[in-house]
This record gives sequence, C-alpha cells and structure tokens, in this order.
Amino acid sequence: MTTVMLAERAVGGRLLGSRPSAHAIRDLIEATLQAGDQVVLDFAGTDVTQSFIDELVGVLVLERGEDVLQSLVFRNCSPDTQTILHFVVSDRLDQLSQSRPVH
Amino acid sequence: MRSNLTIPPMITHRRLGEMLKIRTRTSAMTDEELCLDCAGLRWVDPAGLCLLRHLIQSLNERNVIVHLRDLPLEMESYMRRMDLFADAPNLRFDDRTGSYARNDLQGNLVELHDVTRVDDSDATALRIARTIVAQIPTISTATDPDGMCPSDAEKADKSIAYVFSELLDNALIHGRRRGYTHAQATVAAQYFPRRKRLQIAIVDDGCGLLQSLQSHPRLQDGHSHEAAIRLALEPRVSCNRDLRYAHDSANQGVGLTVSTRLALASGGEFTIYSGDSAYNEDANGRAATWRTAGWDGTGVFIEFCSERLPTIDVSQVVAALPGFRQVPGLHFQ
Repeated sequence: MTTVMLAERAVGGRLLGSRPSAHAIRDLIEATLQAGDQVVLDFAGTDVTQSFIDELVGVLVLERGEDVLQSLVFRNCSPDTQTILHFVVSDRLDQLSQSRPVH
Repeated sequence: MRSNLTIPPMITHRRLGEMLKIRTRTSAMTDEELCLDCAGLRWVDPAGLCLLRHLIQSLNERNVIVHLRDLPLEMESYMRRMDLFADAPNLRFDDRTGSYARNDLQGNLVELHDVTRVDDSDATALRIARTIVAQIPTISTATDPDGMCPSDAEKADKSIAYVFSELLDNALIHGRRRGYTHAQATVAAQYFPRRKRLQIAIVDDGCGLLQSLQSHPRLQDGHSHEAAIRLALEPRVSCNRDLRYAHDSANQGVGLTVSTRLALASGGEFTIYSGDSAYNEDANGRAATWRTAGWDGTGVFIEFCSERLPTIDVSQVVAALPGFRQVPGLHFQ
C-alpha cells in the first residue's frame, strides 16, 4: 500500500486547486496501480477544488472504470473534500453508465 | 496622428460598455498616439481595473502612445497602488494639476495580478485570498484553542481561494483553446469596508464562452453570447466533458457554477460578460442581461458579503448540484 501525502504537493502546504497540479500525482497513482498496489491519498491539511479532484480521481474513473475505487483509500478528508469526491465520482460514473465515448 | 477619446466617469462591472467601446475603437491602432480625456473619471471597481489593464497592455504591444489627460490625482494614486501602470512605458501623464501623492489604501485592496501560466494559478489564488481576507477587520483570526476548528479567517480565505483557483483554471485552460494561446488572465480584488463587501474580478482575453461552447448541442438554436453565458452557468455544461485535450484532461463544467453559487450563498452577486452580452444575478434571485460592446474573452466579477464569508459552505453548494449522490464505493479513513 502506497500513501501519498497530498499536503507535500499543495501550494502553501494547503491548496490543491488547478487541474495541472493533479497531473504528477495522478501519474504516481497510475504507476502504483499498474504495479498492483493500493493507493492511500492522505488529504490532511489540504483544501481541494472540484477541478483538482476531477483531474485526480475523475479521470481515473473514466479511464479505468468503477473498479479503480477498490484500489483507492481516501484518508483525512474534510467534509468539503468528501462531498467533492462524492460529486466527482458519481458524475463520472453516470457518464460511464451512459456509455459516452471517452475519446 | 493623434486620436482623442473620453474615459467615462465610472468603469464598473455594471458600466463597462463605454470602456469596451473605447477598446473596440482602438483595436486597430498601431504606432499612433491616443489621448484619453480622464477628467471625469471618478470610480473604478476591480472589473474596471482588469479591463483597463488589458486595454493598456494591448495598446502597449501595438506601440500606441497613450496620453492620460487630466487624470485626477486621487485616481492616479489609486491606480498606481493597484499596479495598473506597471510595465506600460507607453503611458504619458498630461496636464497634471499637482504633484503625485500615493493613496493610502493598502488596507483594502490587492494589486492587479497578470497570470499567464496555469501552473501559477494556485499560488496566485492562495496569495490573493489570504491578503484580501486579512484586510477584513470583522473576520476573526482567532484559532480554536484545541486546534479542532479553523479560524473564521481560514474559512473565508479557503472559499476565496477556491473561487480564484477555479476561475483562473477556466481562464487559462478554456480561454486558450481555439488558437488563443496568448490569453492571459488579470485579477483584482478589493474590500469595501463601508458596504462590507469584497469584490473580485478575473478577466481573460481568450476565446470567450460562445467559442468555447459553440459545439454544445444546446447552443444550436440560440447561437448567441447571452445563450452561451446562461449555458455556462448551468452545472455539467462543457464541450470537453468527454474529449481529452492538452495535458490529458477532461472537465466537468461545474467550476463556474460552484464559484457563482458561493457568491450568492454569501448574500452577494456576480456579473459575467463575454462577447456582446453581460449577465448579472444576485442573492435575491434577481437576474438581468444586457448588451454591451464586444469583449473577445470572458470577464467574471463576484461580490461577496464579507460578514458571511466564514459561513459559506462549499460542501452544501456542491451537494446541491443536480445529480449529486453519495457513492458507496468510496473508502474513507
């Protein structure tokens, strides 16, 4: 199990907002998943936006389907972060279920 | 050759039309001199400052010498305080009536910021949010002695940083589509203590909402800028929810929706202008649209009621979006 401390990658140790700021973290997650490992995303001390979460997790759901959620653990989420995660994942799952093309 | 134009008395989010006309009338000027009669200028808000910044920079890039004639000293000192004239060697200050004196407004506002790289957007968002919230004396910075709850100031700057980050992302990613690779976003913020309002503005000179959404099926019948603005405010509206574009990304189309709803949740209002249209909505449900002179990009002006900033609840706004549901497959620790 690999733990990613997101605060270490946040601006000012706190804000994870823009889509590009999620790219390197998502690359790390994908490499870990590729190796068959689980990933713990530790959000302690961070504030996130919907865009960041979508770029980090929503894209993974689009690419890998609902099964990817079994390999992800979300730790130390604030109520805002939990709500945004629910929104992003539900929206992308709906999109998948409607069989919209990804490409 | 020297052209003469008159700056309007007020350049605000509700009165951008005259300034946009000046921008249109000067859009073809190169290697000329432009005289702007500023004698009547009395008030500029953050949206107006951002627009002025884009105009001055655009004229500078085209080697247009701009004479600001009879610019009231209090306005000049305010504009200098906001760094409006930075990196603008094309400006001349004519017919000054006295020596320049700096307005002591440092407690109420944040300098203009030009953002050209999306990698800088979070740092800019957090810096501006912290700076402007720190200027609001009614928002307490006292922390919970047990460290269990954030201070009111932390809650407020979290919400402001959220909005800035989302809107800068929109401006720098969507605004740069369709060949607008030069697009930049200009940001300004100011706190008005008497009215207890915090105003922020983000203006980009990118492709605008109509171009950004032009292939959206719901724009087929109403191919207007007004229709594009209204559509952009709806959640889950984007033309690249499915498509991958640069940086392997796809968006959900809710950043603008959540940002504007946060403003309304505070008791504030917002104005969006793009193309030839502007749209305003306030917390009482009043909405208005009007035609204005064209702006290629998108401008977003948001006003928050500062006293209610710490009570804004991002999760409440997100949970109220259509289609929201709890996903049982998410593992939280």
